[in-house]
Amino acid sequence: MERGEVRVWDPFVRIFHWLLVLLFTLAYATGEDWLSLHVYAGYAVFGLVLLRVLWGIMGTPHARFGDFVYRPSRVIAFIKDTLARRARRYLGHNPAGGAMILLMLISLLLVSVTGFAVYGIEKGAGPLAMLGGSSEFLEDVFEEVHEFFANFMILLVVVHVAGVIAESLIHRENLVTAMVNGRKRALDEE
Amino acid sequence: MNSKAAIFSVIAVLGTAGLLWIGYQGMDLREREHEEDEETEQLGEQPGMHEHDAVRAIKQRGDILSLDRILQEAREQHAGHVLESELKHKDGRYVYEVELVDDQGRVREMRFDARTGEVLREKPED
Repeated sequence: MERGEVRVWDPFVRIFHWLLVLLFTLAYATGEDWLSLHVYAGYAVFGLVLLRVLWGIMGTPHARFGDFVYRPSRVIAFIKDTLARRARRYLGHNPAGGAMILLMLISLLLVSVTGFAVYGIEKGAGPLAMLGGSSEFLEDVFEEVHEFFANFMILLVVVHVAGVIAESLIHRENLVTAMVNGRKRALDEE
Repeated sequence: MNSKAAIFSVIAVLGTAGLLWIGYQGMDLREREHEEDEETEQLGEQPGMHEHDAVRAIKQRGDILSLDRILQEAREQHAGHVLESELKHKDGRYVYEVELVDDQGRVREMRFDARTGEVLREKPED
């Protein structure tokens, strides 16, 4: 570790982040045509999100919900500050980043659960196999919601990456590297 | 390293690897093309018969309409271009799924009852 650097992201947070990138890309690319791989990538996403939620309760300091969930007013104030290029630097997630994590976790849960529902209705298999043989209408509804949140995730990813780039530029640090090696410049150095 | 983080990391990595492995195994070549063909094949006269043979056998028994008739029907409804068609066994009956681009350039998915030619479902694909 270089001088003035501190560990911020624990190994699980980093592994979770990059596995999710891999799995979401894989699931988005495979869709209906490579169904088996698509479905199991979905199971893995669901499992990872559950682990992350658990980790948000019992994990390392910056991984906890308490560290990065802020009131909506704080989030909005932070975004305004960022646009004015005078937002303060946070060691963990900033308020906007924290809100993004919540949105992504919720979207991922909805994408995976509605995916299980479609799979259950259409094939009578998977964790929601008991839905097998339900009406086509129900299948359509779940399918629409599934596709909506999958595409909504793409939007979130774009905004997330834009936020990472903006923050990296404003505070002259590389947040991508930080998500790889877990280290960031300490706060009191400024 | 924090031991709890290590345990979570190992579960995440092994779990993901395991699930992807199972998912990959589930994709035997024939399944990759048409998941439902296995059932179609089982209905063929002989085991190991090819899919199109099985389809032909079902057609010969007069159980289902030919794909040509279904495609003609689909084109009549939407003066469009057919992208993909597939025979599936769904909810105990045979259905044709046809994906086409309609005259307004939108992609639509239509599902026909293979026996009667009735449109079971139709929706724009996005």
